[in-house]
Amino acid sequence: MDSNIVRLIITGLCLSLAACGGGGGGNGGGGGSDWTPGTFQPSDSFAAQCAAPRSGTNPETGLPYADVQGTTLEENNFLRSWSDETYLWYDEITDQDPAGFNNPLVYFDELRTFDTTTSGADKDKFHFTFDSDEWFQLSQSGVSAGYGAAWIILSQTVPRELVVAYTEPDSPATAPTANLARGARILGVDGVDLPTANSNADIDILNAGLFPAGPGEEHTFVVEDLDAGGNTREISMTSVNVTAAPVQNVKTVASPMGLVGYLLFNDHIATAEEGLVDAVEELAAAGIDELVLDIRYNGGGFLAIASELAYMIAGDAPTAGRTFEAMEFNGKHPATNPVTGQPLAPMPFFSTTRDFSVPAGQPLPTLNLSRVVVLTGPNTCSASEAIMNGLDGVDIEVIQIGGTTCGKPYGFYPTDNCGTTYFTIQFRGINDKGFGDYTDGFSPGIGPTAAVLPGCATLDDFEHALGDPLEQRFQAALLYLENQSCPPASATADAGTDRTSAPLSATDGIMPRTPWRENRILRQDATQP
Amino acid sequence: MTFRDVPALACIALLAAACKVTPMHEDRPARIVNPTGESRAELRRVVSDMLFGADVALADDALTTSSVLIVERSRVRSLASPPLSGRDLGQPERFQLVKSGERCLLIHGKDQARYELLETECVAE
Repeated sequence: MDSNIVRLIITGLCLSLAACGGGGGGNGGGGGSDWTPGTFQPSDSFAAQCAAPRSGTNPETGLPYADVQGTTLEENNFLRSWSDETYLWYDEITDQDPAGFNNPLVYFDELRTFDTTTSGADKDKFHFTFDSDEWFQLSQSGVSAGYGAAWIILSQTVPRELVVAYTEPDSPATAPTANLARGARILGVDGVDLPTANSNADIDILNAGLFPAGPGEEHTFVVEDLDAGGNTREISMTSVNVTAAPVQNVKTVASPMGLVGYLLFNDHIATAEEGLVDAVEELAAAGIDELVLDIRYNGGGFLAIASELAYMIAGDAPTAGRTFEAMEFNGKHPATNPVTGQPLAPMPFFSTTRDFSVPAGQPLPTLNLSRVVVLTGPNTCSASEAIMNGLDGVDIEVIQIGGTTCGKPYGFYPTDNCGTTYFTIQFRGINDKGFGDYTDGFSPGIGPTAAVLPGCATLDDFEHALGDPLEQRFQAALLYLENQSCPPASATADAGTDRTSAPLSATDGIMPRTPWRENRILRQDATQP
Repeated sequence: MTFRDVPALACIALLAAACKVTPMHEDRPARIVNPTGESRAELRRVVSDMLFGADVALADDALTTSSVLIVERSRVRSLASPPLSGRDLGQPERFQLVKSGERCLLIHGKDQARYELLETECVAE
């Protein structure tokens, strides 16, 4: 049965129950509704009419909050009209009476497409909300509370498994007292056994220790280092505001094809602009012949930084006058950005700095390469995928080594209303050839997705440092560059089901597909008592 | 009598911990030395004030190695929590610390507003 039909039946049952007074939960928006299916008032006519209006200053604008006393129905009406105006697939929303929902968050969940892609995945995987007070929070670029160890969760549920993916320099994780490195397994936190803990109280302890809310929290960890032969050690770390280094491990490796440059690019934060410029200058000065760009853990960020990097890789000739990425809104807005009101103009390949962390207008260094190898995985997302798609669009050969990317050719203008910031997909990014259909991600070689790039499917390898030519993805990249072949199947095998016995070189990290904060944490196993 | 002539008097009417000022001396890029709990709290408070009261997290060594401070939307740096947007079309906020005479001033790049840091020791780069 079509999923939309099932949903409508369920929704209809709920509405019927509500009419009988027995529905509970999600229904009853309060007050009468002037709902006419398919007819929409401008969203502005409902904006900031809140069931619980805020007072004080809006830190986004510096002006008093515009909130006035309203109702849940008016909040729902705002969402309904706003979605009709700006949602990319507005014509796939099933119009439902906003008076039938007494919680805007529940109603918002309905205001999206429930269609699936050819792979069977949800067409819209990125429909979510965030508390506005938290969304408004700012930080020094790259600064967040923690230990400087990037955890990767190989299994969220019992038997739970978590390892260190990489570390930040000059952080508690790399201090001599902790000395954590990639591949170290965390087996316990504050006396709770990480693989097996399954009570709510123990899960809370694990999450509180692994993801401290702020600086100054001290927690203890049981660690099994690589090559420790099963021996463990206990360490204590105190959280601080760690400053991330978004560009790391810049190096060159001699190979039969010439000098291969490598750089690890983890995050499109503002300080990455300076890091990337420095890295490319270093690699250009070394005279590299090939580049391996490691973006396996890069979930995106400032899109203009992606454009800058793409330019630095390709250079002037292939990119001059070409589109890095153009925004495509829904069919109601073929020429104008419905959020800013500005005419749509494609983002070019930026050839100068943009004042993220280097003063604006400085010429960017270039490598002038005709091909690039990207190391990818499920955490490669959004602006990182835009680098791949943008370069592919101007016929730079993009060779992909690793796992299928997350599949996010979309963007939002996060919109606050009454204390909740709503994220609804509003545009798709397309390259110079008009391609932006990678909802199922980019896949190397062969793959389950429509967006296939040349390369090799290779799993993550936590038994070697990032940038080590023996690390499986880097090794596969070097092999592919040399003779266009992939490593034996053992390096590309699926992770398997028995993660506790699988070597770390045969596993790949799991990233929850929805960005709700709750999903970053470890979960209780529903199958356990 | 103008504000330019008597900055100390004008400051009394402004924030208790930080004064919006106009330039009197040549600005020289500067960095903080000997930071204290009070100076860190002051810096955080002034940056927050310049950003309409937004909650801002700063590193303990902010502005101690560079005269430039860049502020952007917070993100949880966890692999399991990817950037919420991922295709950010905005720009970060940029601040520069300068030494102007004996004073340490923080300048907001967006509007060139200048605030004096009273609890902070700084040296020209």
